[in-house]
Amino acid sequence: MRENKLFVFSDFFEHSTPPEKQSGRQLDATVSSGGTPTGLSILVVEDNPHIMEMYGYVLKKLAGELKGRVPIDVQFAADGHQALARLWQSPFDLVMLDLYMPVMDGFALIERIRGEDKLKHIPVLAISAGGEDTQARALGLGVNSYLRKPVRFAQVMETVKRLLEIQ
Amino acid sequence: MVSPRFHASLAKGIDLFNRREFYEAHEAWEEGWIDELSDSRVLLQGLIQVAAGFFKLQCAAPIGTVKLLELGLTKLRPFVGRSLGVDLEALLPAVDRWHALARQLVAEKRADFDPSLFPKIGYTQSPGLVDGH
Repeated sequence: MRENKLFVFSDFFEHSTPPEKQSGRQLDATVSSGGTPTGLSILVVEDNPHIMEMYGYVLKKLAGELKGRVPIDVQFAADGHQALARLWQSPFDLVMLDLYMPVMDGFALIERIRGEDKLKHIPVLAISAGGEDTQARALGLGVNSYLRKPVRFAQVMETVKRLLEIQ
Repeated sequence: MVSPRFHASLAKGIDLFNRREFYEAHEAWEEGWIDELSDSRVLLQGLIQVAAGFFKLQCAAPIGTVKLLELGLTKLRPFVGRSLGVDLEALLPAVDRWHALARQLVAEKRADFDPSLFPKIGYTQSPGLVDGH
């Protein structure tokens, strides 16, 4: 079990252990359906806890659609620096990232991912409020897909499925 | 008179809300809210905030639930009696109870609740008969 596990998908919506610490919401957390080496691992890099909740919900629904056939392990990072630490610790099947974050932004993170032999194969989905220039820059750095905020539930779900090659 | 999309948005959101798909319900109502020019857009806005409040509870974030349910209740109360077919007389007391529960959860630093008790939204008349639609 990962040290940073916070709650599990099966708990996420029906009953909940309290992730909402009184000192503030913990951003650096793991949501897991009991991930195994044969399951899917997704890294969400986002500094806005409300948007993070939405992505967590999408991935929880995806896990529900898969009915446990493919466990999904989701980890969260609040900036590029935290994300890199996660990426070096364990393999991932998808990175979903914001582009404008503190400490290390999404552009720098994409450059690092695409520049490392161990990481460069990982599909990257960038989700940002930025316009065409931002999109062009992200695509130029090698992201596989770009969604412009505000995003809809269905958009995120469809794109994640496509990048994970889930029918 | 409300916009043509209003009733479709309202009905779709109610269906999703009653299936406890609160995030999707909020999105469905938002589609109607964006286009609505009459003051009935405030009704949709109130429903959006109530749905968002329950979504926060599903995310184990009752602090957000308290704030959003308060906002939603404030917007919905003036629509009792002219709610375009939405049974607010049944919904609002239920939301009030969940608001009180959420406040209790925050005070006790808990986030556990029984999701089977989430409220459902009914109609006071067939949605097809409302406002000439």
